[in-house]
Amino acid sequence: MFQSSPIPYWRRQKENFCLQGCKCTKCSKFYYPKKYLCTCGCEKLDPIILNGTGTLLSFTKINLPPAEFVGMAPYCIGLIVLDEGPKIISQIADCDDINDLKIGMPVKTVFRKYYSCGKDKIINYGLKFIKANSHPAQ
Amino acid sequence: MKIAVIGAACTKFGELWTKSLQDLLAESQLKALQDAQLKPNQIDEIFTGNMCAGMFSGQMHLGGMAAQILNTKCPSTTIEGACASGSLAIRAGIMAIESGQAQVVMVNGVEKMTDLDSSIITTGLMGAGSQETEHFVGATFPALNALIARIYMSEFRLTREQLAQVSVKNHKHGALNPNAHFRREVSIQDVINSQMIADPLTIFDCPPISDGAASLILASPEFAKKYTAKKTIPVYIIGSGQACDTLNLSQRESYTELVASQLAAKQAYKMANVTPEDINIAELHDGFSIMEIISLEDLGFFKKGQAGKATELGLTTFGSKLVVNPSGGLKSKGHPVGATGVSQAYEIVKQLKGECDKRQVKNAKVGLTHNIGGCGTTAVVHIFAQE
Repeated sequence: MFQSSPIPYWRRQKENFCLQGCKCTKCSKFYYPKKYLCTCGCEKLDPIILNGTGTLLSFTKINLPPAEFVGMAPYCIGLIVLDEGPKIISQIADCDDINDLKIGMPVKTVFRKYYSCGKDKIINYGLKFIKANSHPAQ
Repeated sequence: MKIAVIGAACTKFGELWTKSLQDLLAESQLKALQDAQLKPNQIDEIFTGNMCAGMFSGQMHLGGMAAQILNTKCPSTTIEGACASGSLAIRAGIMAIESGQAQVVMVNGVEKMTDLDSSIITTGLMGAGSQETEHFVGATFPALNALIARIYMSEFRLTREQLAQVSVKNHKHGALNPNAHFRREVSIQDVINSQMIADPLTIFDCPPISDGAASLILASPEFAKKYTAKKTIPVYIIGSGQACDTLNLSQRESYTELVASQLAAKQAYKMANVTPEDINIAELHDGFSIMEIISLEDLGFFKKGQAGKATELGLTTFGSKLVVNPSGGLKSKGHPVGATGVSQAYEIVKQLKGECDKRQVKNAKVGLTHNIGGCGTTAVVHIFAQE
């Protein structure tokens, strides 16, 4: 039904763990996730680690989760514009009350668990976002 | 362009426990043949729109299934484009006739969804977006629409009540449609106070999980003239448009419009030589209430930021110049994903023929269907007229 192999996540470890995007060698535009062809027409895009800081453009709280996230709901999802320019959809961590979130709020990345998959229950980790001025919960 | 619709059929939409994927497809195929008064061997080619049968029923290759049902050996192909699969199948049918390859084409749309738990359906439908990024973080389809809704509401001061009015209106229409999944009216308070799915969208802002199928028989104008002279009067498809935007919602320039819808509409209007003012009835993709608001503007019916107010004032319901989703739309009629686009066309065809009984729109001359796949990744627009 859903991905039971850890291989796709292994392949995407730099994008998921370090927020690796890319930068066009011709027009300097940044992208996340990786892009194969820049809108300027250039095919040479170099991988680059993005800062992980940005601004919240929109947000929601999910009560009806997909099968893999049943144990995690409710959780918040945000649309974030990163300081370098690309936008990303990610989870907002450490947020019990959606009223704490505001459009325009500064946010930063934090390393967290997503879900486990397959019969071996291998845990998938990745980046989530928290309020920029908060200290991540231990 | 002029393609005749000489037959149309639709099953009831809903939780149809006793019916399988194949039962639904066969029912609409045979009803459409009956409507057109054709025999299976008169069909030159078949296109079937479907999104998730591979996942939900373990059944792919619906082209083969559709041909087997009719005992035919003609070319038969499955078409997939998420929630727009049905309209894409219609476009494939149009192109087969326009190219001269076929004279008569059967187009189907089908989806069987209710055999599975809603969390598995939610996972399946996330395939309409980006698996690697949106699915990985658990951003469901309602969540992506909620992100859009929050931005639109904040930018254009759309009120929660105006947004809810979309569902109230579509339920009012659907109550008059015998094929609809939910045939009851709801109030603004019912919508706002119902179960929260992805804040600010409640369950009454979301389309239901439904089973259903719909079919059309398309034909070249020459065939239609020769064959249907003594039978029913055909309705014609006079415009068709399709466009794409990014698969990842995060890579869009704007979140208060769907560029793919605008481009598809522009192509279709130009081909049909009509303007938005000429349209009397429209079946819009109200997969989530916010999508009807945005689409009313993308298709040129209202100015940017005005669709919420227009909906509140009743400018999209019976008695107004333009009636939107007379069938009840995805919200009330139901949303068997692959069937939706074909069922929209079924509604417009029946309306233009004056066969819609209690929900009949008076003096309907030109109709439009608008079908979206993903959060505006694929958009398809078709325009229909009596002659």
